[in-house]
Amino acid sequence: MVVARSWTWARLAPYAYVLPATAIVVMFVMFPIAYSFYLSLLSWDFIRPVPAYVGLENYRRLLADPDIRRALEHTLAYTAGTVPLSAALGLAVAALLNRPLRTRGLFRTAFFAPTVTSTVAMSVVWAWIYHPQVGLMNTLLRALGLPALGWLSDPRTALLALVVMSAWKGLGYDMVLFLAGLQGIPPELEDAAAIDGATRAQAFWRVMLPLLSPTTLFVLIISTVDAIQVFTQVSLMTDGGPAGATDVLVYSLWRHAFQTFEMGYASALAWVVFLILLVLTAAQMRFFKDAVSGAEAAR
Amino acid sequence: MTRRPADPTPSVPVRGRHAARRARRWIADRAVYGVLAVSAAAMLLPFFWMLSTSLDAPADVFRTPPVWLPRTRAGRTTWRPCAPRRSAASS
Repeated sequence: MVVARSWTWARLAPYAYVLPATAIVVMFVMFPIAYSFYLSLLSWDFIRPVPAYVGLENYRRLLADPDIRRALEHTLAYTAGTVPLSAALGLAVAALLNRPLRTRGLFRTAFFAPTVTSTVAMSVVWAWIYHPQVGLMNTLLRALGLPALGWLSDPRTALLALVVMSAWKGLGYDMVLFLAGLQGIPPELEDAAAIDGATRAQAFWRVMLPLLSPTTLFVLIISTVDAIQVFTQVSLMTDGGPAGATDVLVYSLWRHAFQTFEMGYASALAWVVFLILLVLTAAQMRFFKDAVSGAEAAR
Repeated sequence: MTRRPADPTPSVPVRGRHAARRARRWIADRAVYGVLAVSAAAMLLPFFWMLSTSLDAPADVFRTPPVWLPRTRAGRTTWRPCAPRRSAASS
């Protein structure tokens, strides 16, 4: 009797242990994801008690919506600007800091500070920096004798202004990842390159950078996922304007969900954003496949 | 630290080459420091601007070029709500 009970307990105990965590993940992560797909098949304004089932109508409408097409273009342009810019600058800083400088900690802090600061606070500060009359950017341009720009108030520069701000905010994170990656490369490999007669630049481009490709892949995937979902900066600095010039997918999603109360349409848009990310991530992994397996073999 | 510029009297050609290499390395290190210092300062500029604006008198907030260090003691007015005990005493 006692034996039988302890046997049952031994079988069931692990499930009891993971139950609380599982319950939280199911309730707050998996259920909302599944529910958002269900919602994307409905036409629902939050208020009507019985939503109307419309099948794939929301998705059909999305594909034909010129505003969504425009938001997609802006999102891709923003991503294509922000991701390479912050990755390249982060890599450059990491390469410069990957040597025994006495002030390395100080520099690392300076470059990492924007990453750990609230995006909301920094959006407010940068909205001031971009102010056409009293902003720092235009003060700087005037001091250099260049014509002042409208920045956030000019449809031609607003997206660029957001890209610059986001690269400033993101490069510290990329730098930390690249620095960790560079320090994980055995120093013998760089020494061997030097003995073989490579200059420091050659050693970096031909030896260090290929060996860094697992880190590079990680940085690119993480920052692409982040950039495609950009919302805070847009919401606080431009409201998607001027004249819709910075309307991005997630901002559009938020407007449809919480301003025009089209929950079904917004949920469908969320799934489209997810599919875009899935395709982009798969493409990045495919593109880096050979480089990553080469780097892992060399270690 | 202990890095010095080129050996002043390079007699043997090999030593001369070493010295020239050390000098180049020294210059490169200074250049790296310079680039890092300038870009780190640029990264921190928005933080400094935020701090300086929080200390400005309301009229100085809109001044161009920006007032980097508070010109009056008006900054204390800006910060007073953060020190409730003192404002309670003065009112």
